[in-house]
Amino acid sequence: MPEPDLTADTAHECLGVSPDAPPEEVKLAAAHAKSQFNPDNYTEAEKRAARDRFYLVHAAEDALLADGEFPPERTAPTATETLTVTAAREQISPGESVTVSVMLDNTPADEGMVRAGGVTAEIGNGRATLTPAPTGAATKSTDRATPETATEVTLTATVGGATATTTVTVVPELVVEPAETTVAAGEQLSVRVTDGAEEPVDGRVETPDGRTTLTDGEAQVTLTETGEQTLTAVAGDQTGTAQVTVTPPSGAIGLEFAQTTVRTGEPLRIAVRWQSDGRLVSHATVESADGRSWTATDGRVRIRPTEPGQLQLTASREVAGTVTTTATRTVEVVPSSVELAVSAPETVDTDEQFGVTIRESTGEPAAAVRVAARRDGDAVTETVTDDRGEATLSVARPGTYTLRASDNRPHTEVVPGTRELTVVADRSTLAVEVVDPPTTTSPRCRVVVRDEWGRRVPDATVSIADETATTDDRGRAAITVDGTSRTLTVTHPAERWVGTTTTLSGVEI
Amino acid sequence: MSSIGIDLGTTNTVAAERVGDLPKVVDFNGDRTMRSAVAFTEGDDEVIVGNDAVDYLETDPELTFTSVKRAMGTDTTYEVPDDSYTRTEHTPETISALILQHLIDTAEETLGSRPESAVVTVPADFPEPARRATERAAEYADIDVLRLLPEPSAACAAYGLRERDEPIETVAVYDLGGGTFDVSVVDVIHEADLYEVQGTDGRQQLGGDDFDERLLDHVAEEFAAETEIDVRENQEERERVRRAVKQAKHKLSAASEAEVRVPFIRPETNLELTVSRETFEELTADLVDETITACADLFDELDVAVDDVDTVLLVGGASKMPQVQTAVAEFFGQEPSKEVNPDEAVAMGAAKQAEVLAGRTGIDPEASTEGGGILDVAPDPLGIRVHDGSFSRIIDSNETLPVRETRDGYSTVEDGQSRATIEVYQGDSDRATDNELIESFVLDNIREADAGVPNIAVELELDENGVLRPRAWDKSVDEKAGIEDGVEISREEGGDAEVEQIREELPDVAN
Repeated sequence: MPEPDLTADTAHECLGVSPDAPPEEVKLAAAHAKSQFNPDNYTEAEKRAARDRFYLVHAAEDALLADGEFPPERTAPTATETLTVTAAREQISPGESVTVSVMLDNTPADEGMVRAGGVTAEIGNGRATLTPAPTGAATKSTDRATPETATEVTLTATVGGATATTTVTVVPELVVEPAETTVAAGEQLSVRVTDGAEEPVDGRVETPDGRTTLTDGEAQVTLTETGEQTLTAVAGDQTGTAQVTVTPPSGAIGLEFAQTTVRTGEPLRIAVRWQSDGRLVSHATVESADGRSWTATDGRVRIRPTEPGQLQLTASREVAGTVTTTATRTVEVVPSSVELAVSAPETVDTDEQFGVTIRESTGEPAAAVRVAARRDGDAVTETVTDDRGEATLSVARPGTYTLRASDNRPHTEVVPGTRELTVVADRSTLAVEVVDPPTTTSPRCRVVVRDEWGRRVPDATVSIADETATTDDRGRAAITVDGTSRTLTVTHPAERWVGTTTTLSGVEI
Repeated sequence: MSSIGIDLGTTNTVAAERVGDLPKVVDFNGDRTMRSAVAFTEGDDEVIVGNDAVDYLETDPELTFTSVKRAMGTDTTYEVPDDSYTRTEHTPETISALILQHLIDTAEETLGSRPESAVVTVPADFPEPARRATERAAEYADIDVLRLLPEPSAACAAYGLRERDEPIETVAVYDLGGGTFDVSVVDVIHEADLYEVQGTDGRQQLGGDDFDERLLDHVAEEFAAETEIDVRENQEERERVRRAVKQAKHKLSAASEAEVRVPFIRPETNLELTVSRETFEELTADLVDETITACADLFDELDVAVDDVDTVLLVGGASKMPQVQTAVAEFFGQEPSKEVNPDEAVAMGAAKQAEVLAGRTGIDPEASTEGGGILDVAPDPLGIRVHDGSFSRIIDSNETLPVRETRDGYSTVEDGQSRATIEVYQGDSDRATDNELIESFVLDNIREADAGVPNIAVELELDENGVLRPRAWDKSVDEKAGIEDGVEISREEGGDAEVEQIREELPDVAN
């Protein structure tokens, strides 16, 4: 087995073959080498090196079998090393430090320095950290040495003879001034936001409870969580923060119902309010006497009582983790009633599958409702509707029937729906279509049974010799043909169908 | 975690898994192939995929989609005029994703574990946009594509490696599927487990379906002469006759005549006709001739003689027809190999590669395999546009990936020109702009000199994953311009969020 030599000067040596090797041997040696350097066989980190070897082998093969050159004319350009400098962050606040990474080609630089105005820092292990000085002219004579607007600072890295630059933007912080440093939960707090030049700014104030837009540098915020909270102002690229202390609110809460009585299954709208000023209580919990509970995130919640009688509800709000204030009220729940409506064809054939749809008086489909075809007071067939209020029925004998939809529901009166149905006798001859004939290797025969109009017939019995099968809802059946009989018989248990016999022709088994 | 091989065909799709030496073909309720068809049933956000969807071609032709592979990589859309679907406009990718979803569900049932990754096969000359569309389809179906493989190479891999007198075996793969025909020449280097596609030709619109259509026309005409009923005028009747005709075609592979029988095609009327193999062969002779012409074209183009072919493989269900086998044997002067199953060869080869790729852990000689494996090929030439608008080829079609080629001798057209925009195109045309623009970049440090003096080199690298890395430099300046990260050809915008949204909007597969 020739070993490829990737440092060789000639194509023959590269592939490890003798200078007089015939083309066949060259091709084979190249195939082995390509297979060895197939990048699929290497990890992500090694793929590049594998590819380079693959290309070299390909070039050697090309040189010997086609018109390629070896070594390949690919004078990898020996450009001077490229110095790149990248700041870890594009934006800093005044007085903040920034770290930059300095790379020579793809290796970390380990010498030289980075300069920003009069400030310098030494490069070590590919990085340097420095604090750009505020630009002199922009410094104001106030106690906050804050420039009015964002300034760009150029960072210059010098390594050996090469230099490279990048920039960071120094963005002054916003001044956030709440009217009070202590406020009760739920109380309004006025906040003023100004920039370094003490001009009001437009933007927004963010609190744990959400965002509020600033108008002429002013905003009214409401904090609901107690404890130390942070107000953050954001305007364009600039930000600023302030702390306020939120104390527990005083006063009790109340429960308010939109209705004094409610029907079962209908929504009861509830509001939870502070009694002191009528504001909605956020993050309240409402519980019923039987242990169910709901969260009223913004002080409102809808519940649907299912049982009639007195429903006792308790609202509670935890404040500062320990204090809980509660309120309790009772509402009267009365039973409701629904009416069922039946839609179905007026006339059907005997054994014809027909669909019925049951709806409630509200127009909603009535699921899991019993539907029966009745004659002389007795149900001859019955079924139950699906989620869409639909069901399929069929009646075997001709005559006049009543379709009746009824249901038993706890605490709700259900008025049954009815509809007349006429069933007429009809007879049709069945036909067999062979979809997949039996063969020597696969004795399974697949057929479709149809009526005289070509429609597919479910539940037909297909038989050959001792084997039988029943067609599915698309009229399909599969049957194994064994022994010598080739006579396929189709029958149907319903009287409207006339059976048929077919001979499987041209079948070799 | 398991990996499978998928032959995502125009008409039929086959999947297989290989564990050790035991290949297992995914079983679709008794069938080893699945029709590449999707039926959007009315009134729910659910589709029926595969063999069961064929039934709906009869009743709901507008809502049943087939042969979407032909449209892969184009901006064809499919409308589903039914409000109950979350997504009513589909692309070849989303339809293919539904086919793949059903395939993966079925694979989970038959193989016992849900495949998470796959090797998917594509025609050797499938354009790059169609290749990327295939990968997106898999992504929508939540399958990790380990590699796309050329179908002929996969068929050769299924054919297997054995001790032969010739270390390099030249294999001709004649692939006549349901909707397409491809012929390829592949060099198999057995001891290195390497497959190199030498060339491919074919007919995008010729397949077994055309043979069915011929027989259907014949049967319809005979029946019309007898009854004055033209079954081709009614969609449902036509599809019923088509199914009967297909069976007759299969029967004719073994018998000299076959009966076409459709009961109650109209009330009280049965269609019953007998077709002989001779008639069938006469009806389809020009189709077979067309495939042989494509074979002849390929050998004209290649540096290989027909006599140099060591083995002929027949792939694709339609290659089972006796008249096809006779014509192929005559053209190649040898009997085609009977060692692979034409329906399953491509999926088997892909499964074999899936097992290899999934088992790869790295360079560690103890853990990894002994090298080798099937590599994809560049479907079309890659090159750049030169000043007069012509296309200067740098990488040829059918080159095994990864490939890196450099060409120099390019120069400036104006005195003192220091910048040049280099536009990379892919395609077959000699006019650059008739091909597809893949990438452009600027070389901006050309040495100042008179027009035509600088010698500019351009290097194109296309790696095994289809990622292109173009570079250029002025040989007298030695500084490169290029794209170090590489561009994935025809990669569309839109990230994980878009994929996630499409996944969510796709209907459920009901069967």
